[in-house]
Amino acid sequence: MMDKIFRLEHVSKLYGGDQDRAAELLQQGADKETVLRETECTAALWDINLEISRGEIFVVIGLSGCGKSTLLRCLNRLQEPTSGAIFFDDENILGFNSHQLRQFRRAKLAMVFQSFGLFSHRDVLSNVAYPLEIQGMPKQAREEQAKKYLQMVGLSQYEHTLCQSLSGGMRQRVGIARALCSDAEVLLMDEPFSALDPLVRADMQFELLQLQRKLNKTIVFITHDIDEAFKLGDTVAIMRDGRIIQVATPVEMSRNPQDDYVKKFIDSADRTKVLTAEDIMTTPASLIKITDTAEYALHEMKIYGLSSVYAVDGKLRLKGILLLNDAVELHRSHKPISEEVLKKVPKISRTQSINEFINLVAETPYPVAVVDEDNMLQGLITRASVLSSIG
Amino acid sequence: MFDRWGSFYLFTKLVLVIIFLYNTNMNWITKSVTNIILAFLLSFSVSPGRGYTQSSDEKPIIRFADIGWDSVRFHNAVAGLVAERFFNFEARELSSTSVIAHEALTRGELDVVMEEWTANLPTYQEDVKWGKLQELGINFDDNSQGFYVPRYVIEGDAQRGLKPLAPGLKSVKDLAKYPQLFPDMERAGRSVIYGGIPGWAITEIMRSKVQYYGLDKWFNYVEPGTDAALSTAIASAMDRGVPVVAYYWTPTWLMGKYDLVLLEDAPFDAALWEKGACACPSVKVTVCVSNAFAQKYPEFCAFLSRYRTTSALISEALAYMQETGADSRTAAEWFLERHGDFLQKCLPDYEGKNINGKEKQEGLRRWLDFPQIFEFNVNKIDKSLRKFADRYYVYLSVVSRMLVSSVVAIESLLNHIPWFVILAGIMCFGKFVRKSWKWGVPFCLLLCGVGLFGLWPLMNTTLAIVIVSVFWSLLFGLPLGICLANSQGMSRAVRPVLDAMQTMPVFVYLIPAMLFFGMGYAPAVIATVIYAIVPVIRMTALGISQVDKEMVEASKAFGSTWWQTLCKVEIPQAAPTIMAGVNQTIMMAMSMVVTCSMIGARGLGHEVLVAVQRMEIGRGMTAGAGVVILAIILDRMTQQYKKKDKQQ
Repeated sequence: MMDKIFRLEHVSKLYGGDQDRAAELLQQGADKETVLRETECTAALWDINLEISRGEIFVVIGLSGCGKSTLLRCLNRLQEPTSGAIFFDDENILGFNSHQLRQFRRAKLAMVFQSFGLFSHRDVLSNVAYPLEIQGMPKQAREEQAKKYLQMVGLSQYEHTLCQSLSGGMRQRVGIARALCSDAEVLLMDEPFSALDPLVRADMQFELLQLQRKLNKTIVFITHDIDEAFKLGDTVAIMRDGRIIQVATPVEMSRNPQDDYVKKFIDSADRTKVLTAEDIMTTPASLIKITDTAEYALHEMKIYGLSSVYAVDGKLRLKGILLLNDAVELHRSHKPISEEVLKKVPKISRTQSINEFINLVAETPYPVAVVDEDNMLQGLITRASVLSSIG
Repeated sequence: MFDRWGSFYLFTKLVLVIIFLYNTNMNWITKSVTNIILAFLLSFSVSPGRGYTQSSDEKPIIRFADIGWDSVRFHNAVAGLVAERFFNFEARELSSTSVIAHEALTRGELDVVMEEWTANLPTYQEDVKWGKLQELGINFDDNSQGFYVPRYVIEGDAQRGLKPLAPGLKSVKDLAKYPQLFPDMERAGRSVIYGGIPGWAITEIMRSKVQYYGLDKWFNYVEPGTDAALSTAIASAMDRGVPVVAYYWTPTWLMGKYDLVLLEDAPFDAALWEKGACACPSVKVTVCVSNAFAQKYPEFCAFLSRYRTTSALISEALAYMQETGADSRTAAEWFLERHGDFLQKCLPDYEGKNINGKEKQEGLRRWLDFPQIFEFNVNKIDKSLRKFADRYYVYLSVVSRMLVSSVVAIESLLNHIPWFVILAGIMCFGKFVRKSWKWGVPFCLLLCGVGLFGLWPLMNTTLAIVIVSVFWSLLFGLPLGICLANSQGMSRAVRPVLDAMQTMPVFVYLIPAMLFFGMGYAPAVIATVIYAIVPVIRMTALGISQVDKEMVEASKAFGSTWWQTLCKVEIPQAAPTIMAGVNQTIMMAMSMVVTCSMIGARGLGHEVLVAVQRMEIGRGMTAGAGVVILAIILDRMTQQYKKKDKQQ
């Protein structure tokens, strides 16, 4: 069981109108539009229950207007929930007074914005140092730290440039550096890569994962792009009309979508990025041990109608593949099966996604083996299984 | 076909249109001056040349001059009633000042002036001699004018607990014994005598009198700009029981209401009169008509030539107006009813018609008139304002003293900096903001122009008023703008007030400001602040509410305090817009300079006002040019800062 950093209980956010009546209707399961029509009250969030684990990338996905940005802003109280409770390390942040809230924001949270939210009247360095500046850190110290993070995002030479003269990708790097600079535990990222073009976006996603590997923050990431969500997310929450529909890992979600809405959402995604070897591998129909005779191997192949068979040692560790021709040759010369006759085969780890090994499978004339860290054979992937999983 | 005045009217219209078009593109700078010139031009063409041309079913129109005194309005109403009831005229009043009305009369743009103060009009004798207008007769000549002090200054007032401060004060000469009683807040160590209205002949004579008696050793002779300013200065001083010495005259409501003593002087002597060495004679106040009118309507002129009143009669009527809040028309009806013999005297063929028998209005006419149901007693407002001014005099005078001393301090600072240092400073600043001598040098040359015309000290005074006004505008305006940006409710509540501040005619609060804060710099600064604070409030609110929402969120999300967000993000982001507001505020403060001279603020504006009231066009234009130059320099400087900020 992972350590939970955020816990949201029955968080709701209603705007305007007759909120009591709206709450009543929502309780009965009325949808957002009915509520708006009947009570003039907009339900941005309704009864959100979530847990976010320490160190994970928690992605919230949904169409625009579904309340995902509101949800994010409730986490640092840029917007105040109408009701409910938000626990951060078992402390209800909605009970904080303004001083506590400020300290909480300074020490624990950092935020990255869709259109960067950089201060155009300041240069890159003082933008990055801003979180430290407001905490009262002396200029030299904070600039030193800011430089460290600028280097981390690869913008060392732009310290004294004004933000407008940077490209979008660079600006968002500044935004990320600024968020990292206060060394907060949680990064709140509000569609940080939506404003970037696809190539840059892919780079930034990659870089974010790299940074995450180094820094191991808790990241709450908002996006409307299911590919991005599945690529980055350890856990993905899908939202619709102010409600959470499903919270699951990407794989779980693509395997068992909660309802048609989720399914449709996932279908729009590139499944090759989501499904891994583990998801589509098949159990080998037949295996031989390296100590078996060639005759046994031929027998197995004959029964199952195969042109090759995988060979393992006594601990099920993969040794290679024995092709039909080689088996016939061995049988004729009465030689035992040795490692020399076995062909080396490409191996795939069980967590690799389809798009990573699809070419390999296509080029290899026989099934590709899936192994774990100890080289133990887990399963096989054939061209057919790949094709059927995409279809 | 245009007759002479028709074409002049058209010309004026044309000028107006051109100026309007200019104004839309122009800053506030030249507005003040063009407005003055405009007013000046318009005063010549008081009405289009439709004089007496009338169709058969239209009544002829008779145009009375409303010089701005109640006594004139009262005479106009009496004569107007007679004209309408017995001569089938339609009476109208046209607002003007005494000098301009006189001028308009000689040109036939006005028909009747009921009070021509012969001694106060520099060209009166000449104009009569040359037949430019017709003097019909004397309205009254038992008036008096001169320096007045409140009676309590001499005799004290046991009821109000006022001690006699100057028991020996009898004549003008005696003022030399008591200069400390009448301190000039704007000139430390000096005293003040409030003088006549700029443009009146008596004003110069009273100035000579001050010099003749050697009073100028202690006293400054201050011209209050308008007679409303003068009467307010006297009235507010007397409401508080403070000593004051000022030029004034009878018959006026002020004299009826307040107990003032005329300071004695040597008996009138025509030879000494110009030097100011003797008492003012009673001024012959005549009724005059234009030549054309006299020719066309001899019967009515015959009535006017027999029109004769006395100071006592007029004061009675004025007191009635002041007490009841009645308008001049009502007062005239009341007067004619009370003094039945008056009509008998000046209308011999008066056939006993009842003048007060109101004409039966046609049913339709009456139905079309908007029904007035409520009689609103505006007198109560006056009284409560005065009471307020009186009760909180102590606090108000603290404010007033603070404002005056800050203006005086800046003024003397500017006066103490040698002119060439200021020029050099301006030049460097010009270079600094535009990064080129190309801008510093013209600024410097323009300022040289101001100095060469001898307007340097006046400019310093004006600049001091503007600086203090702008300082207070920003001090209140910036925080208020920030509040408006942050609070919708407040914004909704305050916006109409801002609209009112911008559109309310300045004179409406100019006079109360004087009532509360005395005459001169203090009310000038306050009136200017009221007028000029609006753009900085609006632009600050606009600028701050336009700051990118994500930037503000970013600042908050990292744990900024409200103040940090404001200072480190919102204000720097809104700076270009705020600077545009500051620029507008400075320009509007400049444009108030002339208006404020009407309540006795010295400086370039006063020079313009005096010049215009005396019809000294050249002098007016020079001073006006000074205003324009100062405004241009201030504008360019602040505008440059604004642009510089944008480029960043």
